Amino acid sequence: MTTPELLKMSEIRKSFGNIPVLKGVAFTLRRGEVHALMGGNGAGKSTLMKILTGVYSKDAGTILIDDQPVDLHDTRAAERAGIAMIFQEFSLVPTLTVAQNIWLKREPRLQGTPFINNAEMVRRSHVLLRELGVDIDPETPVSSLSVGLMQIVEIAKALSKKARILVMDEPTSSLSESETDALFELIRKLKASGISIVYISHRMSEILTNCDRVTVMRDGEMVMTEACAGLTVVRIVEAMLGAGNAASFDWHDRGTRATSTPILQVRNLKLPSRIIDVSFNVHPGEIVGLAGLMGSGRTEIAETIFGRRTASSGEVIFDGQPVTGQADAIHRGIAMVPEDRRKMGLVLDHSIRDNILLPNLDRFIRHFLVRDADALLPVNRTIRDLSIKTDGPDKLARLLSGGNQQKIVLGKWLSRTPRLLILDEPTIGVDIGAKSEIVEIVRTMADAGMAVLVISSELEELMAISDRILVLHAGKIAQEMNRRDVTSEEELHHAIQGHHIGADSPVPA
Amino acid sequence: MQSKAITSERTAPFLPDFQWQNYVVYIFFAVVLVFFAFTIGDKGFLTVTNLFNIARTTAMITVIGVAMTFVISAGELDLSVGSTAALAALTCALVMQAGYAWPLAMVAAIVSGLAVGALNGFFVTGIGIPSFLVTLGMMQFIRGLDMRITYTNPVAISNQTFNGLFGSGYVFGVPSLLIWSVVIALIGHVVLKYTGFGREILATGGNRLAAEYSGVKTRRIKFAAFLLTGAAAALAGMLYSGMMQTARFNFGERAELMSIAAVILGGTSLFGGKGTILGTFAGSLLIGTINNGLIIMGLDVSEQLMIAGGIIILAVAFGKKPG
Repeated sequence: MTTPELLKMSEIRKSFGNIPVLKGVAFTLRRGEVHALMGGNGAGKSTLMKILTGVYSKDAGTILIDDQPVDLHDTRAAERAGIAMIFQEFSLVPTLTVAQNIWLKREPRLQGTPFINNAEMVRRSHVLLRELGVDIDPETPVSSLSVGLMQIVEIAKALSKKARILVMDEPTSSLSESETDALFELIRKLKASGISIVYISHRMSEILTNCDRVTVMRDGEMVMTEACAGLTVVRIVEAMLGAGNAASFDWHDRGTRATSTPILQVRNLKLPSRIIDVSFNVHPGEIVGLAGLMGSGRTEIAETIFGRRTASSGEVIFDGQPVTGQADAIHRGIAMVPEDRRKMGLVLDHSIRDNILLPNLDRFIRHFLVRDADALLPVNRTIRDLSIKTDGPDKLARLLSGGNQQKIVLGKWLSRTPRLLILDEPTIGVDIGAKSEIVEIVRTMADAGMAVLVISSELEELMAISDRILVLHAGKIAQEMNRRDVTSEEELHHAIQGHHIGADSPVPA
Repeated sequence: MQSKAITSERTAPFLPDFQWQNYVVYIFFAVVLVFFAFTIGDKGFLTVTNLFNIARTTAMITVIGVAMTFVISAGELDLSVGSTAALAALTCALVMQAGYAWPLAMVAAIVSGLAVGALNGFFVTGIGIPSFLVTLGMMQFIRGLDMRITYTNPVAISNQTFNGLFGSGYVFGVPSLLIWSVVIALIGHVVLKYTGFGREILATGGNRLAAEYSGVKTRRIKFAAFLLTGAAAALAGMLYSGMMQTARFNFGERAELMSIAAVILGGTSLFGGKGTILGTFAGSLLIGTINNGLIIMGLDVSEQLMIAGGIIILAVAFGKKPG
């Protein structure tokens, strides 16, 4: 116990083929520390973590735990060394119970027999879950838990293996607000008991409030390691992008356009699935943000405008005419980028070209045949305009990074030049570089007259892109704010939580 | 964007980008042909008559396989094709036996196939039952119906125009069955590869939800695919009955398995989203050639089955991409 450092990685190098991905990286983790690891896609952070968890083996460098060199040549060795990964896409078996998942392949046996001691397994799970301060019945099947609880079971499973270092990859990306709060509560508890956490996330505000230190990687190198106290978002973004590239994530006043005739009018829209009654307008050239808690019905409203859902009453009027269904919506120039690009946005095993073409087939069919040759030019233009990083239009969508995949989903629709673009969580899981590019693209299209409706759980994103922000609370548009009147993210945060903004509204620490 | 210098996580190999796994069916076909040419070339394997014979006996599998490629590419399966073929064969034989003209019998047969397809399509897309179960049940139901219609008695077809057109005839020395296979395969190839319908089939099978968000009416697409297998099965039934100049309740037994094998051998993904008609055609010919060669070699039916089954598994194993 001579040093506060539990883990010391130094001079870590790794190449794939002849491409160096890690160029001599150093990373340290103290006992009981929450250490954020940030960087764009391709910066090398997942490679570094895969080396730590024994998925990849390093080409060079040393790893010390408790000042002893360790050899993490495979995942089992890493597990023995007390390192566990909490997966982004959960590694639990949904049909098995909580206890069965925690002890999978390590089930306690009835003494002297090969049979599983179920009672003992349940009892141990109970103890473990109680220590974590959650009330989950170990005998419920995992599939009936919420995503937040599943994650806690993941953590319990890691702790049952005596893990001292937890690697969490984007743990909050699919959690609701209250689940996120609960997770941070748990992280604080883990920290207090001496467990160290490597925290990978793209969400700046989360990191600044909950982590002790931040390390930023860029192009396979460590560019910054600093304590969170006193650090600003801008500093981190600059470190990630290199100085001077962070500009487009700042808000520009594009001038209000709320005086022109609205292109979209939503009138007393009520939905069968939720208690919602909303009315609002969107004008040509305007970017309107729709803020609200997860589960507040934002996506449902968007899908109703896009014609995928039917309202129980009320109207969606686009360009003077009611929208009658999805085909009508698409035909008349409404486009939607859904929230989950891998599930709803892309055919991952098809090429970039085929993905971009899919909603545009009608434009390239002559005499029943799709004219691929005619489509090549527009497809290549989309790839160039959106600077999708690929060696050609025939590359499979699956092989691209999250940011580039999201650009394909955008590109599918932008080549139609829609008049209303609905973006549902457009930059979730997208690195900051691609994020600013996407924001820039949307702005350019809006400048050309396209109306945009953006749904986002990331307030900084809404603050960066919107001209006007609608706050959905308790099924109604509780507030409508002009972006230029909103001075801080906290103000927006309060509105979403249901507090009214006064001049004297307190700013939380 | 400095940070995006490394774009692809998987680096391209130094070898040219030739994915031989995509061509495994053609490679196997060539290997099998050469093998039989050397071993039984002098026993009549290489004669024009025998090669035409292979093409004739595989015509039904090819025709059904083409439509099956659409259904599988859309992420579904149709097991009812074999018994539907027999239903269509019996239907047209009975209509002709009743004294109606053959074109009417043909229409009746196609309608019977479309009806089965529509039922499958309804249960799958309307009620939401997995196609494997729907068509498994349908396969049995229709086979039972086939047996019931004539109490398992065969129905002879005496109309020589029909027989010539659909199975026994030749055009400029080429068997009409081969012409049917080639024509259907070509049409299928163009439709799957170059029409909006084909693209929407592949998108539906590749990711149904993404296809829907892009405006594809995936239920309609799947329904249409089942109509296709229904119609193709009906055509295959007529080809059978034209070739045999009779219709029997047991026509098309194992045709569903053979055609699915042909489709998968050809390189179509069993999980949807990726399909090739030319591959299916080659897969069908490969199966036919193996069967034919083994017969000429004088192997017993039991041995034929074992070897043919083994080769199918091997070919699919070779076609599997690493990772």
